[in-house]
Amino acid sequence: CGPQQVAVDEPMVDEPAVSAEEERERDRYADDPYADDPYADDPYTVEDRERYAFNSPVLNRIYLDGSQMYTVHFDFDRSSIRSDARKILDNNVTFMERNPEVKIVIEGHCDERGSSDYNLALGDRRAQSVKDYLVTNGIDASRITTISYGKEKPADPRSNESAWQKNRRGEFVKKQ
Amino acid sequence: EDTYVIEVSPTGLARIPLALPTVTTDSSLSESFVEEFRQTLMEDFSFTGILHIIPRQAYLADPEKKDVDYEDWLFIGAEYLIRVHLSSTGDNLRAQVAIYDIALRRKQSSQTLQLPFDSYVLLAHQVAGHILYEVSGIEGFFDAQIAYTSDYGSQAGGAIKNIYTMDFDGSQRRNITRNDSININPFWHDNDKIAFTSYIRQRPEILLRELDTGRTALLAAFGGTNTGGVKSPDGKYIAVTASRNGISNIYLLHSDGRMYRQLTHHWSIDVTPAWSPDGRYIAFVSDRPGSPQIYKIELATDQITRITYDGRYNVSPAWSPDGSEIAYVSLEDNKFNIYIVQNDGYNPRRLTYNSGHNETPRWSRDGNYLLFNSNRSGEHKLYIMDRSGAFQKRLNDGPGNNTMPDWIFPKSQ
Repeated sequence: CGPQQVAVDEPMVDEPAVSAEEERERDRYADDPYADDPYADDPYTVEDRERYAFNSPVLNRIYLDGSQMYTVHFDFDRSSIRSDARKILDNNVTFMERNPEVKIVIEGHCDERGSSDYNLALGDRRAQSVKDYLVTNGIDASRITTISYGKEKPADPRSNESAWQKNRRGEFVKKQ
Repeated sequence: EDTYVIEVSPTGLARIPLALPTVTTDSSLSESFVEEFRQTLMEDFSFTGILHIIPRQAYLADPEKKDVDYEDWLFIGAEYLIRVHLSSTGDNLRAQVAIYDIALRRKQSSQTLQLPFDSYVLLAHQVAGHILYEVSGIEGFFDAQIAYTSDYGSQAGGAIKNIYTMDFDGSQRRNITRNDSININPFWHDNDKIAFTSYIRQRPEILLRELDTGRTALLAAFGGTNTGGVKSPDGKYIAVTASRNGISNIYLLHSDGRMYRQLTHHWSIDVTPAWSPDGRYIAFVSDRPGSPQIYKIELATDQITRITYDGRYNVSPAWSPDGSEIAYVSLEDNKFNIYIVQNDGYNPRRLTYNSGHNETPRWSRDGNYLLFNSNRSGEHKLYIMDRSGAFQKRLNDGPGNNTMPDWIFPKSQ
C-alpha cells in the first residue's frame, strides 16, 4: 500500500508529547533537586543521608540513597558513562529496584553545537548507553525505552560552557 | 527584531557597474507600478554583491532618445546599459529587456519575458535573473523557494519548531506545519513536496508533505531515530539515517518509502547523507575515527573514503552542483564556520570568520552562491553568500530563530 497518511495539523489536537504532570516530574530531576527537599521528613536522620551525599559537577550536592532518580551528564561529543554518572546510575538502579512498577523513558540530549541530525544520532547513542548500563546492572530492558531529542530541547538555552554541560544529558522520565 | 544588518560588502571583488534607467512603459501601466518593478530588480541585485547600479542622477543621456549614446554611458563608467520596457497585453505582463555592452558599443541581447499579470513579482525576479546572467554568466536565484525550520511562536527556550516556506525575497512566508511538536530539517523533493523530521508521533520520523494538497505521508518510521530524507538526483531513491539500539546507519529507500538497502554497516554514528549531483556518491558524516568527519561512499562499489582531516568536528556536507566540491561546517574554538573542500579532500577553504555560528550550507543551482543560517545578529537568521565568502547578506526572513534552510529553483522553462 502507499505510504501511510498522517494528520499533522489542525483540526487535529496535539496533546503535548509530555503531560504536565510528567513535566513537573522531570523538573524535579533536571534542575536543582535540592531546591525543595522532598525528603525533609524522611525516616533517615540527617547524618544517615549525609552518608549518601555526592557532589555532582553539574547537580551540585545530591543524595544517592536510591530515593529518587537523577539526570546524568556527558562530555562533549561523547556517549561514554563518566565516573560521576556511574555513581548516579547506580543510585537510579537502586530506585528502580525499589519501585518495580516504574517504567522509564531515557531521553538523550546534546548541547547546541553541531548539526541537528548529528546531535540526534549522538543523543540516541547517549540514551542507549544509559539503558545498557541499567540493563547490565539487572534492570529489565522492557521497563526502559529511549528517545533522542538531540539539541532541540536544551535544559539551559544559554550559549556558554555551563549551559552546554547541563544540556549534554540523559534524563529519566517516568512513563505513565 | 534585531536592529541592524551587517552587510559584508566585497573588498577587491570586481563589481560590474550597470546603468538601469527608469523602466519605461506605454499608457497601460502606472508610474508607481513601473517604479516598484525597478525597485524589485534593485533589491534582487543587492543580494549578488557583484552588481553596482549607477545612481540615476549620474545619467547624462536623454532617456527618451531611442538610440544609445555610448559616449555618455562610457563617461559615467557604465559597462552595461539595461533598458526594460513593461506593457500589459490582455491579462499578461510583458517585459522587453535590452542589454547594451557599452565598451563594445553594441546591443548584446534583447529578450521578452511574459507572465500572467498577477505574477508580476515573479516576472521581476526572472528579469533580474536574466540580466544577472547576461552581464556575469551567473544564474539568477531570485525566483527560488526556501524551506526552513523556525522556533517562531515557541516561548523562549521552548522546544516547539515548525517548518516554514518563503520566496527568496521573504514574501509568501507560510508555516507548513502548525503543531506543538518538533519539526526540523526540511528537504525539497519537488517544487511542491518537502520531507522533514517530525516528533508529531512522539518519535523522530520522516514525513513528506505535499504543499498543494496539504497531505502528509509517513516516509520513514523505522523505530529509533530517523533523520534525513534526501532524494537522489534521478528521483529513484531517498537516503535516510535510521538507528537501532543507538547505532545510526544510512539506508536507501525506494521513492515510496519502502526499504531498498543499507549503505553503512558501522557501529559508529553515520548520518547526514548528501547526494553527489551525478548520483554516484553520497557524502555523509561519520564519527568512526573518534570525531565526526566527512566521508563519501561510492554506491556502485560501497567503497568508503574519508574527505576531511583538518579539525575535530566536521558536519553538514553538501555537494556543489558540478560535483567538484563539498561545502561543510567545521567547529573551531566553539564556533561553527562554513568551509568548501575539493571532493577528494584537498585544500579546504574557510568562508566565514568571526560571525557567530554559521551552519547548513546549501548551494545555488550553478554553485556560485550558498544559502546558510547564522546567529551573528543574535538569533539565527538566513543568509546568502558568494562562493568566495567575501559577500554575505541577510535575507528578509521572518522573526524567531530560522535554521536548516533548503532552497529549490523553478524548473527551467
